[in-house]
Amino acid sequence: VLVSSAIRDITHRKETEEKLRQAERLAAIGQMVAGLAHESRNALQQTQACLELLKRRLQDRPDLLELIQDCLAAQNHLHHLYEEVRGYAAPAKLDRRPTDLGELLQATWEQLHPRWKDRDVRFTQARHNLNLTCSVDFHALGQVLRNILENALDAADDPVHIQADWSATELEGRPAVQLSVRDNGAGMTPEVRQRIFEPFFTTKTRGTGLGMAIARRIVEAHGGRIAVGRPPARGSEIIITLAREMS
Amino acid sequence: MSEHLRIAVADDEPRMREFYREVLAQAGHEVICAARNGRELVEQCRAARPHLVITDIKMPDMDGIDAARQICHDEAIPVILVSAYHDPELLERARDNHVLAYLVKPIKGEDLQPAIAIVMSRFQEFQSLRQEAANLRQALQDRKLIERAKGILMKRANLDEATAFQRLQKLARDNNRKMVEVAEMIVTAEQAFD
Repeated sequence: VLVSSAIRDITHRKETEEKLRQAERLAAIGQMVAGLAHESRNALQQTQACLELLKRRLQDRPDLLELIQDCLAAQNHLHHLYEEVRGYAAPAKLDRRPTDLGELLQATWEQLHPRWKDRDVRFTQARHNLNLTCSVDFHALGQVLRNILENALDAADDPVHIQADWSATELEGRPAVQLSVRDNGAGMTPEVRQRIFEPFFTTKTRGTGLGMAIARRIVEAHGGRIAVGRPPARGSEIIITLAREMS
Repeated sequence: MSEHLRIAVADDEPRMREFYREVLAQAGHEVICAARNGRELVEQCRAARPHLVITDIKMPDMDGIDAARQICHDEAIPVILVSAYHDPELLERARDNHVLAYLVKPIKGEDLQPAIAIVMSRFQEFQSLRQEAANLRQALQDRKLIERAKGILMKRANLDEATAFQRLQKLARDNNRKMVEVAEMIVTAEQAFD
């Protein structure tokens, strides 16, 4: 009995050490990726400037302009990807201030105007007269909401209806607010439901697969929770729960 | 339509200088100097007096923030910083001086126009507020001087306040001078007797 418990102890210690090494390695990779994404901006600026100059010189060659346009689009995509990776890899530093989350959601929706202005889209928000003021990082949480709304816009065909619904709840015994964002798209497959918060998991052809991973990281940095709602008759639902005050 | 601006730019990349020249010319502005580093920028701004400075931060010799500080030491000129970096230390340094915008690379040509429009109108607001503050400060100083001169008149000529004030007004009128000038003379004269 003594021998087997000693072996168990050693095994446990080795597992812990391995986990620690793994965490350190991941942190180092994270730092390296963030640095790489950051340094890439100078190179991206150089290609952006050159492509724009080239575009000016080739105003009378529509066939070539089209190629440049494609380069610029690819460059944009690369930039976006780098920034997302950087955002995901960099340590989350939060600047928390009392913020009305309902107003933040509405403002985020307005910012997405270019994404929905040419579509048949309806966005409704039900506040139920709740006080939605929470202590959050305005920019970080804005990014979470934007990622969720963008996903909803991508998931549903016209006419789109995105419903945001607020409720009061508790999180680990503390007063909290809960937001449900539901679209009228095709809904998620069991695989998507399971993997949606994994980094680099995507169902879009042009997505980075980081949007929801970043969303989870930010919400958890706030001490909150983000989850997929139970499958409704139709559409997908994301649920965020945030405590009103910092823990 | 936006006004025609004389703009100084700085970037250690030759292509970026070319980019600024073309994009800004297209927008109806003129790049009057394109410096390779902060020191060149300071020298060229001293000679050319631009309406606006657009500069990179990290450059050899002198960085864009130090250059902006030196340029604005002589005369207030609005500054837009364009950098691949935005760590807290840089932001803190950029906060003072006349830095009115901070764009993160990579920027597009089309990003520049709205930034310039906002920066120029904010700068004009700052300038007019600054002028207003200076005017008020001067008015306050004048008022203090007149009060002192009035006090002297009341004491020396044994006048009440209203009469002392009227005498100051009359002196100014008769000598064709501003009241504050007459007040200054009285205060100086008073010092001669002390």
